[in-house]
Amino acid sequence: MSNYYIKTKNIFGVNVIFTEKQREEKMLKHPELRQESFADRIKKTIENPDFIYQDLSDKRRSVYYSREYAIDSKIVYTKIILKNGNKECFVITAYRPDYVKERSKTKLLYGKDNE
Amino acid sequence: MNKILQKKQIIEAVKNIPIIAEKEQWVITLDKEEGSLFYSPKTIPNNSSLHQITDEYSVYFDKKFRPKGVMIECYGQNFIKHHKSFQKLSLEVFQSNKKIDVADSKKNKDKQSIFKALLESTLIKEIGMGMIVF
Repeated sequence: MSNYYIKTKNIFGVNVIFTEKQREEKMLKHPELRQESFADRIKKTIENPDFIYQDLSDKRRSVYYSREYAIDSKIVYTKIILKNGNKECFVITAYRPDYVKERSKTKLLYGKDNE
Repeated sequence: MNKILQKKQIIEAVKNIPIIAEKEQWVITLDKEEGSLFYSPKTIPNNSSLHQITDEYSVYFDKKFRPKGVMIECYGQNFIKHHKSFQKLSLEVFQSNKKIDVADSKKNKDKQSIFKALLESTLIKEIGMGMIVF
């Protein structure tokens, strides 16, 4: 079995790796990571996010978002926290919140977050 | 969840967290790598979805709108800085070097009980102060 849960390139052409070990660690508290279909959403968000914020607590990290769907006007997102390396980025975790924690609190690095 | 979550329902759900947590033996977990604190069962059940309650915390709910876990993002970087009573207690409860530190019920049992009680009361108190309306 591959050690990679996901291996792809981000929108800037940099390799991004989400290891199977990392996914197994994080899926206890993020049940979304146990859904097979979520892997595809993670991959698409890495490759083509709607917007990217700098992480609130660590400037070496970035947070990728894709809008998924809306429930009664609340938008649900795929959110991915990435650690930026010199040659590769690593996925710390991913989940599906109905809010953007970073909005108005940290730097928007890419795209438009106009909710 | 495909209906409007009424404010009253949310308040009731959060108020029920202490009872549910005791019944389901929720644990406190600090994911130092992610920067998040979780108060939840060891494994948050499938089909739970994450909803923001206040600017400070969010809750995983099941399809019947029962709380299945609390998540506090930026726990060390943000939450703890304006909830001073958690500072010393956190150091006492989370003593391992593991990146995902699950508070061990066999050690520091009294401190963990105080931590849980403080957290539960904070969650309920904050919902009255700054709930995000669904």
